[in-house]
Amino acid sequence: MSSTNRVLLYAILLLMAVLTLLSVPVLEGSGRDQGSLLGVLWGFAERFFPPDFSDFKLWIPSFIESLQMAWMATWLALIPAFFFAFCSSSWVPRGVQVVCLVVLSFLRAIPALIYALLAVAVFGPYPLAGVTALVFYSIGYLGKFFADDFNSLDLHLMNTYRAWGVPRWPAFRYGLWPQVSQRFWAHFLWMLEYNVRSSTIIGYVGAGGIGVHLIGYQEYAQWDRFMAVILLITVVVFLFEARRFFIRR
Amino acid sequence: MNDSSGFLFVGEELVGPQYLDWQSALSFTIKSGDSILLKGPSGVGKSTVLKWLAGVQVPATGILQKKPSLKVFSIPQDRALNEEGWAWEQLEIVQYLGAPADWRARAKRMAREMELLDLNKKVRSLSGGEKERLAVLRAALVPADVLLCDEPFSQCDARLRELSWKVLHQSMKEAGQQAALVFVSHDDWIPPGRNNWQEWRLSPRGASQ
Repeated sequence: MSSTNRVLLYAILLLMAVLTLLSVPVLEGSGRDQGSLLGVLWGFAERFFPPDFSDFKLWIPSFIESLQMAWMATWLALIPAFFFAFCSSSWVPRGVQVVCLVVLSFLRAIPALIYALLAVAVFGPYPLAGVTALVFYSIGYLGKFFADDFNSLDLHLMNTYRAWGVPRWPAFRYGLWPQVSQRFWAHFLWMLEYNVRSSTIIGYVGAGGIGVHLIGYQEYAQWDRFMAVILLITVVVFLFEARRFFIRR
Repeated sequence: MNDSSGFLFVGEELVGPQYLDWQSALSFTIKSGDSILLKGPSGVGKSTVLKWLAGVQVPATGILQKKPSLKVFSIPQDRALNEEGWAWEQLEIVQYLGAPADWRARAKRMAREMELLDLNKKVRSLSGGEKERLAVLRAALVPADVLLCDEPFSQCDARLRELSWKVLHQSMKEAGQQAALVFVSHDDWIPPGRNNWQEWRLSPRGASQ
């Protein structure tokens, strides 16, 4: 490591230390009930446990609806995300890049729950509202990922094929597409998983799916059933995460 | 440039990767049937010269002329394999480069001859020597006017080197026309079966032929 790099490294470490110190105030609470903190936590836990699965049959169709919302939203976001990604990659003029990056940042800046609130206002409390909310959010995220993918593609292999005299299309098919498809599928799966999680919660504002039950149980303080739904969501998210145990590479 | 020549290079100054400035000029012509051995220490620019010839890089100075119809194929230093793809998939590109229709059968036979036993693997799980032989096998399937080989057997032992070269040499002979060969090598091994080798020696001081 050169000495300038070393100085830079120390400067960055120092900056991080200062930022940490300056951020300490956010850890301060109101000072209320500090002594019985554990007692309060225990009180919560008592209301959540043991989870009550007696409404299980009601949840299954809602859960399927959540998964369908996630599935549809991820696919519907794909084409617009591709478009914005390409237009914000280094392959297009700089002005266009900036505009598209701003659009993608804006789409990502708004949380899925806010989109859901707006969509419910527009479409009413139906799953369509949930799908719409997820689509907007997904375009923001997928667009960013795909843009990074576009920028980091290694054109070397394709250029070698072209130099050998391989026509344009097969050179792309064999030289670039394997890289493209691998990254894009990885990001697509990431987004699908994200949307599965999001789709369970946007029901909270009435946008369909399992979240509708969550808001109901909260209103009637049925925390044991609330907890059971949370556990179910955890299982689904875990199964998604654990796919690599089942799918052999 | 007369009809028989493939390349003509009139160089003024070379910029190699390691040595900033070569004192003397490199000029060369490559004609059909030529056998050229390109030698020199690491980092002197042997691969750079091959990249010019392959058309993936343009010389900083000097003029490189190439007969427009010339078909150039290469076994580049990086082997030009898609690491994430299947080994057999790497051969499919040859069908776009004028390989005869029965290339699959030929590939199977040649792979056996060079002891490349299992092509049903991802490229990244192949050993260095297997990757080399895969690139050699692909080159053996493509009828080319000029074949550029950048240390094609650097990770094969002497026996596999002979086996693989035999396959490549045989296919070049079968192709009928007199293909030129430019061969970069580190050691003193000279591919057997070709006559009239010209040796181009690159050094930090310049080039001699």
